[in-house]
Amino acid sequence: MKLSRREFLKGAAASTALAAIGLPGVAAAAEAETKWVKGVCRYCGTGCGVLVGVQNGKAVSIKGDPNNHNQGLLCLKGAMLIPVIYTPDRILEPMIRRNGKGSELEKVSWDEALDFAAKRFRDTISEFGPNAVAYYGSGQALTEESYLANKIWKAGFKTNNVDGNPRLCMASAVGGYTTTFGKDEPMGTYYDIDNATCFFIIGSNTSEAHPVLFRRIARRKQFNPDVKIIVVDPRRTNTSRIADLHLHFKPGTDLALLNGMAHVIIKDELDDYRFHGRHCVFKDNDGSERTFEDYKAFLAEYTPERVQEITGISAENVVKVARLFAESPNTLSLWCMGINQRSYGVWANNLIHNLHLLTGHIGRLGASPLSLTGQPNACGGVRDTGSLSHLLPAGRVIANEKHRNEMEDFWGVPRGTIQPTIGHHAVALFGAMATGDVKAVFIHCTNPAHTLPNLNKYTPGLQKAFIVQTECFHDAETTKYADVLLPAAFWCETDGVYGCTERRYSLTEQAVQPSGNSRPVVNIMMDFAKRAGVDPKLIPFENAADIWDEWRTLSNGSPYNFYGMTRERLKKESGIRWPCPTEDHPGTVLRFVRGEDPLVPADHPEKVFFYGNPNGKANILFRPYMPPFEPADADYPFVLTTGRVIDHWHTATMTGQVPELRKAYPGAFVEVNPEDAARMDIRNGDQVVLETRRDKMTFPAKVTDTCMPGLVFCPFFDKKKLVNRLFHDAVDNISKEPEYKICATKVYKQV
Amino acid sequence: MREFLRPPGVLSEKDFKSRCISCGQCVGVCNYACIAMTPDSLFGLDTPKVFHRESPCFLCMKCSEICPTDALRDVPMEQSGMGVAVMDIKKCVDYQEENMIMCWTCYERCPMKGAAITLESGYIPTITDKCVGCGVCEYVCPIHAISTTPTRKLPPAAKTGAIPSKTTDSTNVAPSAISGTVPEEGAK
Amino acid sequence: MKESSIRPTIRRSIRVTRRAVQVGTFLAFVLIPLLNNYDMRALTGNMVAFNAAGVPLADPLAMLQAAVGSFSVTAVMITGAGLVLLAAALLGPAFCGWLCPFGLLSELVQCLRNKKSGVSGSAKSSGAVFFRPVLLKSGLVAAGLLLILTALPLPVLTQLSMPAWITRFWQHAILLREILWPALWLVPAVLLAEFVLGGRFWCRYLCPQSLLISLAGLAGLALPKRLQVRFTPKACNCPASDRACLAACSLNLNPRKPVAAQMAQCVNCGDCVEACKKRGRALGFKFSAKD
Repeated sequence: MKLSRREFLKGAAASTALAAIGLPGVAAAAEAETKWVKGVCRYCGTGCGVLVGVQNGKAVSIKGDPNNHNQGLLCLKGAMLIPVIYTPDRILEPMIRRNGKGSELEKVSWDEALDFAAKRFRDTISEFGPNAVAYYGSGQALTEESYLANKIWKAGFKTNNVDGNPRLCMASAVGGYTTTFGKDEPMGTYYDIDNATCFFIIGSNTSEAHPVLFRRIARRKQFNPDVKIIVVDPRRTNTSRIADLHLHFKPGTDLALLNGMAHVIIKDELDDYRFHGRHCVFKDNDGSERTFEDYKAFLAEYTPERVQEITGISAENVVKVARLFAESPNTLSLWCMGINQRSYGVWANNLIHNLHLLTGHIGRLGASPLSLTGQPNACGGVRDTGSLSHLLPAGRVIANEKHRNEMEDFWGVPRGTIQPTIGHHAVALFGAMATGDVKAVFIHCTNPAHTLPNLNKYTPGLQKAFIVQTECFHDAETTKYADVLLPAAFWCETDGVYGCTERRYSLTEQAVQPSGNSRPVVNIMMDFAKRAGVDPKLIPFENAADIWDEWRTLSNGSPYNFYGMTRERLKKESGIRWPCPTEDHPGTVLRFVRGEDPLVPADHPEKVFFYGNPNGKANILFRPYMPPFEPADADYPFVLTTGRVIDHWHTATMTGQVPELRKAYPGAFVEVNPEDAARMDIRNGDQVVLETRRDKMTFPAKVTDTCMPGLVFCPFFDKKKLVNRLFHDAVDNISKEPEYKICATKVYKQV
Repeated sequence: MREFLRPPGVLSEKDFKSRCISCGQCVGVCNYACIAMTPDSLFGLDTPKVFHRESPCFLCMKCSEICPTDALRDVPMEQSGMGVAVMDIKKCVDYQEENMIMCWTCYERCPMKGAAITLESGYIPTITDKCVGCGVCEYVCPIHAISTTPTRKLPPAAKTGAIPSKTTDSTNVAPSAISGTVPEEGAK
Repeated sequence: MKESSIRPTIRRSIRVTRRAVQVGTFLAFVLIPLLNNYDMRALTGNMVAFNAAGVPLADPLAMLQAAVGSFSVTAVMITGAGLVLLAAALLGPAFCGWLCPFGLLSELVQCLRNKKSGVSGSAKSSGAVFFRPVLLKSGLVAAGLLLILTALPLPVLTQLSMPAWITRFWQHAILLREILWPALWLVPAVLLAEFVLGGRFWCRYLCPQSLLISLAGLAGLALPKRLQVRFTPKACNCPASDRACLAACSLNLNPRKPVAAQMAQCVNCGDCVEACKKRGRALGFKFSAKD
């Protein structure tokens, strides 16, 4: 049903009022009375620095931090963060469903809510053991929150059922970095954008997902027209419109292209023999060491012609892109969910790293494989702190006894406290909730009822398990399933650190007091944990700064060393890049490079030292092409993919509060190629049905040449159209990350 | 009266009024519920109007297809002839030198994306002469930096195609080109 | 006597069927905008012009006005008006008697009036019966077209279309969530005048939309197939003074004088046939021109 004219007018009036709040330079009163508090944007992994303007204890405006990497620039979402703080949709009182699922949420006191939640956890653990409880966290949680939760659950409750939504977005990138380089996280920074001569952008719609970075790339080209931009994406996005070469290919076949590029590079003798001879080891898919000749033989089948057959990219372009990549002085690769959210996502990551290692485009300004992080704190909060079911802090793994012992010693718990078996990864966790193996879960800062793949399969789990949720907004779909809803302080209402794509840790200082009866999540977690039976000595922190100090200390001596980033220093500076071992160290631009990376000894014989691996070398891995889990076929002839839109963040629980952003994208739609649309007589706005093997949904059509024929796209932000019901939940074998990007669908016009 | 556009396919206001019989089929067939019917004069018949500031037209073109009397001619979207959108670059955040905000909402929502609104150099939204004045950009712009003038109010020269620059005050250039400096790297 | 009628033996009364069709048509034009609201757009429009899954149907006078005002015609205009005129040629102005929502209201007003003041109405001589109304309507239409041609190129006569006002009212109410105020005072005002003056004078003397339809109906009398009321004098058992069929006709026509002039105005409502049924079967429907 359509909105009435009156409703539209109401929306228009509200937006004018809010526009005044959200924009810089339009502050309500005199500038002199405004206190500017430094922080980081709440949204994407670009990690733009912000300054929040506070007047009389209320946040009134926001502008970009000129001293952070974004140089004062913000995208529209970030510029409109202020109204989100004060939206009426905020959860401001603790609430419980006293009589189980489906009953009404009742406002209660903090004590009652926490006791109610804690008792359930205690009872569950005593009856069913610690593996019947879990924590599901987020790449948008503050680092202190994730570190704390990791400690509480793994050393306090003694279960490794600690996972989070980075499993759904960056796990493959983690897998890629760790299998290639031994340790996680990129080696470059955003400076590489300013120095690259060739950009290889694959599986990333940078212009919509990382707009501020995209502008930096576009300007690099604008002022240096010789810079080449290659975009590899089945969709003709805004990103591809600045490309010198846009390769669109049959979805899911990019692994063939990447191997094909390596094939051409070696055949044309464009590889840097000296570099990979010195710094790389060739390894088969089963882990055994091989030689360069073996690699050549492995690549023999990936001729340009064969690649053309598989991908649809012309053989000529395969050669062209390989040469552009290799011959350019400095090539920078950027990728995101198109590569990560795949059933062979780790392999896809490895193949990109292979290209850089083969050509030596690594360890120099402008030459690097830089994985773009989706969320603002997947890196700093979850990956680095090891808050996943198979990891421990600072690059340690559960499976390694020595690592477990190190953590037990550091945390002051007896040896053997940390379980030796890994816990449930995200998808398996919600599966375990459905079967009843996991009976109580603490969900923080994420919205799994909206974002899990193959939703129809996992909502029974949410319906069954006891859920304690820390959340800021009623709008989140997951609140429907919460048994205990705890109001969390939002963003700048508390202080904490975010670590973004380029290994930069930036502090958001507390700008205003938490609204209503909400509390900082670190306080909520500690209070809850103590009541649930966790030893208080494990969590003796007064505030987030204390937690930061412990984590900082722990990092000392590890490859993730940021010991030099004291709280004071973070307050003064606008973010510092790790490794940063001492307080006077300025931070690291080029990781693994002697003279740049403080963790490489100054007298190391090689200039490049991949100290993540025991032999100091990076692995070039033989990863064959594998097709996607559910390609298009005769019954389901279209490929369906999903992703974000520029004006909404994820499930729009925050951006949906801003009328201007809602106006721009009020609801989900399906992008249909004009050829396909003409064949099915589909116009802009016509209702189109997408039917997959799992579910069926209707969307208004947007006829556009963005998608290639045979591909349709629908964004996932709309809670009234939970598109994840359509997708399957096949995961990458190594990273356990679901393949959101490709499934098969029928497309037809609704009669 | 509130500012309005005519639906796509109107040749001229005179021709339109002589043909529109107020059958309301354009309203019924519109996918976006953006066509309203109001009288043109005190005792006039109700004719279709797009009040684009409340509900713009997304150029599905079904109204111009169905109109029985060709009051709305069945044309492709490029010939909709509804008006012209003009961006005030003193207001548009992408053109500001300080505290710049990146916003491409108009570009994103333009039904003729990449043709009527382009991103100069990849990041500066610019309205081109292919704009047909559907009003979507004005509707979604969070800063209200765009204004759409209906065809019936345009000077004659505009209707023949000699439209003045679609971005006021200056042609489409990058901000630093305005100031003449190349941007430098920040803190370090 | 062989009765070649278009319908087999009528078990249900014609009146009930016709009322059902009239009410159904009225409801259909409420349903169309309702369906549109739910994204079902195969049917669109009102009684000025509408579209049923690609088949256009239109008020011929509205199309004529648009053609005169713009000096052009479109294929849809010709098809839409043509189909309606063709139907009128074959079925007579049955639109007025079976489909027009104003016709329904006008008949109900006539019934009320009859109840109040007893049976009234006398059949005039055949000439006057046809020519006076057609002259009046022609004058009105001609004046309107002249106005369009010279001074005001807008379809001004559509302002006088009662079915248009009624169906547009529901379009506005449902699709646009607005009250079309003129419909709320104009239609009742005309109905009130009909109540006062009697004889369904708007439908008979003034409705401009019916002019082309009745002219098409008149022309259709020359066709081999044409729905009309058949009068078989030999079967008529009523004395000349018993004017039951006359009283039944809400348009004050004389069913016992089936001359072209009467037939052109007869909307085939069947009220006279129904009245005759109780007394014999002199009146019935036929579709062939021959008896």
